[in-house]
Amino acid sequence: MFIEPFINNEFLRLSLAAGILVAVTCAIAGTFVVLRGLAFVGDALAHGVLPGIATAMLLGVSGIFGAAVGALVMMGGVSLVSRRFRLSGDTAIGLLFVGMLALGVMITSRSRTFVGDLSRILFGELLGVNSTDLLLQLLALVIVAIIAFVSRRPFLLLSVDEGLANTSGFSTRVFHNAMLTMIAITVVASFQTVGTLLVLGMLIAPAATGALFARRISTMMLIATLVGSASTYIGLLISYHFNLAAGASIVLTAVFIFAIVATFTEIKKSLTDRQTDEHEHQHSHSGAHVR
Amino acid sequence: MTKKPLKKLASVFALITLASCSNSTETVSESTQTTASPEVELPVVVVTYSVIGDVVAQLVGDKAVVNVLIPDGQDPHEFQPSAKDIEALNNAAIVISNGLDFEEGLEDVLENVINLGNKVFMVGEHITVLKTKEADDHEHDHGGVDPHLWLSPGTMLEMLPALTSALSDALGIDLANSSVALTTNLEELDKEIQQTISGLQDCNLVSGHDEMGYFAARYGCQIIGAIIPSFTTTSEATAGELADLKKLIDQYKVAAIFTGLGTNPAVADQLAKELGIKAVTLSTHYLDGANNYQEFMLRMVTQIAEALK
Repeated sequence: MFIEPFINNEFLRLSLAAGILVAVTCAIAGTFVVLRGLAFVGDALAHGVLPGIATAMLLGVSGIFGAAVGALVMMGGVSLVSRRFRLSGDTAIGLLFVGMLALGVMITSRSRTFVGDLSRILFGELLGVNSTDLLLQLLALVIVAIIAFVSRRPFLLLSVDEGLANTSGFSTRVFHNAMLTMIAITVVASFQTVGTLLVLGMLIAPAATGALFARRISTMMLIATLVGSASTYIGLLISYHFNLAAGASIVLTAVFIFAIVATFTEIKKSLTDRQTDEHEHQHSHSGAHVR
Repeated sequence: MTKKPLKKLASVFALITLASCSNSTETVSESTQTTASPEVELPVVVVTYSVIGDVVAQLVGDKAVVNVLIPDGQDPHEFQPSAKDIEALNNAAIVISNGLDFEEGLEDVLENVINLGNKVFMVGEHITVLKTKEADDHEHDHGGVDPHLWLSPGTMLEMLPALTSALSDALGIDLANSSVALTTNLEELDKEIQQTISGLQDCNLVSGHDEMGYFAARYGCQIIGAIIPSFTTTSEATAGELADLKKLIDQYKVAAIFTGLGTNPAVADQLAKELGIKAVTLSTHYLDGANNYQEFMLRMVTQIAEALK
């Protein structure tokens, strides 16, 4: 019931492997997304790659190139708009996000050769991954891991205290862009597997779960990896046993795990709070007694 | 822009077999594309998708202009009309639509057209509708009706009298002669498909979504299952259904998986690879380069026959 589906079906093993690779990649990138508050950028990238993918398919080139170009345009545009026109980052992202999404819809809606549709790009087709997709996802993981490892200190400073990062000799602009690139690679690579929209769930939910109680970045990444991988496994089982869409099942599991862990941490916190309250209360009581 | 070599081969074959077809079909395919000539104002018939569009075009000949709304390559299940499309629908002498929840993105628009008092001919109202999924021992609740009625010339023959009179009324022209010609033509096509399929040892079909119902019912094929077990492509494949399908394909020794519009080819390819069988892309929802309905059907039948041989 928990193992045989994977033993009997190669496609499920491939899906699981791809899902876990996505989970690890997302754990690394997602930790910084959550700490630095870049979820909206991630969302924008997830939609921003659409026109790129659609155009690539029209031209008959691999969608991944189109996705990469789309992501570059998105990041460049956001940076340009927010720098040149003194608009907040939010506004710039929102502007580009909607613009790129609309462009993607326009390209796909009127093309006569585009067989397929937006929902398949947004939600991927995890159950159809092949070994090439796995290799690509592995490559993305390696690149993301290298970026994160090389820039771990600047990334940490950027995430915790941008002011401090400014004074410590790092170019915040360079490393901010490096971080965006890392997120973009994660999103772009995922479009064949969980899809560009659901990857957002994998970027945020496991890392947010880690952020609930992890004190160190490495612990947070480890928890995010575990939560992400467990969500992939549980999600695929749900898809198998209850005939539900695979990608959505996985992401919903991840969000559900966050909810459970958050509830438990809240209960635990309120219990310890009460204990300290009682402790203090007793203390003051005994103090009064002495007096 | 990629054309599969197999498709090309098949259409060449179809062309040869069609050489004997009536010459009415030639004028037809032209009128599908051309807009009204400036001198004579011809009435305009708007048909939602190209397969039925060609049948209508063969029927009206050069007496009306046939405009097809959903371009080939777009998924008719998910097509969203533009403002100009809606204008064309509102101005048409008559609109021909599938009518069985096929053009899901057009439903509201078509309703408005009817409310405006325009004539809309729903093909689905004039045929024997397939309601449940056939030959599937699983109890998936997909509900609804099968809209893929054009995949059997038998069904086309069934609705032809009603279509002829609806068009005659709306356009004010007599179509009796072309209706008779088309009937003969479709009957020949029907026989030809019958011959090809009965030449197969067994005709066990696995398709992208549940689209082969009318075809299977007409020609004695058995539907084993589909990647997306739903009458529409707006659903998604699930791990459980894929695993079930894998078992069934094994059990019935199905020789090929037919995919196409709306199914991610990756899923079919992966499943076919795992089972050591072929995955064949089939054009089932639009003419896709075929010159007419007959050619479209024969190409599909040739592909099926080759893959299941």
